[in-house]
Amino acid sequence: MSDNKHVREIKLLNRYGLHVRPAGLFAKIASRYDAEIEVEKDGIVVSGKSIMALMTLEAVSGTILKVTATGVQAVEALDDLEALVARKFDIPDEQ
Amino acid sequence: MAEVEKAAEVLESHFTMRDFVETGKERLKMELVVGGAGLDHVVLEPMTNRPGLALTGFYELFAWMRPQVIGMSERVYLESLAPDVRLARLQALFDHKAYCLVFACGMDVPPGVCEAAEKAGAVILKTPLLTREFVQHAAFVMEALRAPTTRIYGTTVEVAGIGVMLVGKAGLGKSETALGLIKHGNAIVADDLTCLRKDVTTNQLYASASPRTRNYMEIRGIGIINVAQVFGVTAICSEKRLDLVISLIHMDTAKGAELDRIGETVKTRRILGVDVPEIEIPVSVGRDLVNLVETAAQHHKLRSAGYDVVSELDSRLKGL
Repeated sequence: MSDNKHVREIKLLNRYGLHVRPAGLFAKIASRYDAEIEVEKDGIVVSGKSIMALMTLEAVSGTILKVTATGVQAVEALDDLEALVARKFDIPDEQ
Repeated sequence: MAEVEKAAEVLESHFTMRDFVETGKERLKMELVVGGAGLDHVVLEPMTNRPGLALTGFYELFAWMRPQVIGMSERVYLESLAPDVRLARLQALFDHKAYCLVFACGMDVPPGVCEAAEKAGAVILKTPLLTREFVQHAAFVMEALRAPTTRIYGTTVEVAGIGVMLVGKAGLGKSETALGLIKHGNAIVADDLTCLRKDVTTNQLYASASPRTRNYMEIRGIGIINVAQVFGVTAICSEKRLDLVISLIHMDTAKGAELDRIGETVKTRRILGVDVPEIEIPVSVGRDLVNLVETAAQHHKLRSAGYDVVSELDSRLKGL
């Protein structure tokens, strides 16, 4: 297990939070990288590569997610995910 | 496997009167007469008490830490008392730390009791249920509330009648295997994230899906599907006892070489303090995971019933 572990707090800015499409995009981006991604909300930790798991977090707009990446591409993954959330998942009606 | 262990932390298991009232409202047909601050009181013991003796003025070993149920016999006794004594005896329960009174059998709350409860910060509930019905159902509601729970990154399927949870790294084919198992007539319990609750009386784990995503699955390349719609309701199972964990591992990891080729040693995985049998199945191109999981489940079923294939074959080889 690699020790390259990074943690970042990311705030959801889009209107409806982590519902199906945002969760799908999040998992898609997370899966691109050689790193384990974990997303935590209220002490519940799920895999950032699983759409189903992300949706169960019930993360609404304004929620701060603690995202932990472990592995070779941990930093790149976090950069990409942070940018995705900041762009409000590029979903037009949620800007 | 770090993600699995990390997720396997016990969540809060103590519950308050508010949790009890909200969760049990329907089943226990409870009406909240006095709530307020008392709703934040923690239910210290998850069972009910009949305060008959305490109502007579005997407070030794009074189980104040449980909700108090006033049933028919308490009612008849209270009615035999003068009104001022009756109120004083009920009030005395609050003085001895009682934080909840439930009036069963649809009886009315005697005058003055609500005010006393408000003053003491206690909860008053009413139910049309018979006392024995209430006591029985309340036990179930409280047991469910206090049950330790956790969530694990895994897909759970009912295979050949037993609950099997598939765990392993993302992309190894847990959901795809589940899909194949469904096609073979098995039922899915939870995809990707399994909620587990421990039944503390039997020391067994029960698996279910998060209510938010129940019946849905994500299959890479296809997207999200509604299992009940695509395959019919027989393809889903709302809750199942967890009997076996199947851990999918890469064939090329060093672990592959250390696998028990006979299958004699049964590893276990500790979840919420329960040891669940676990087997590891290496994944590689050309291995039919659906078939392997089904066979593993049936093999496990036989073994749990006492069948020991290793000794059987051993006896034959030794010519016994």
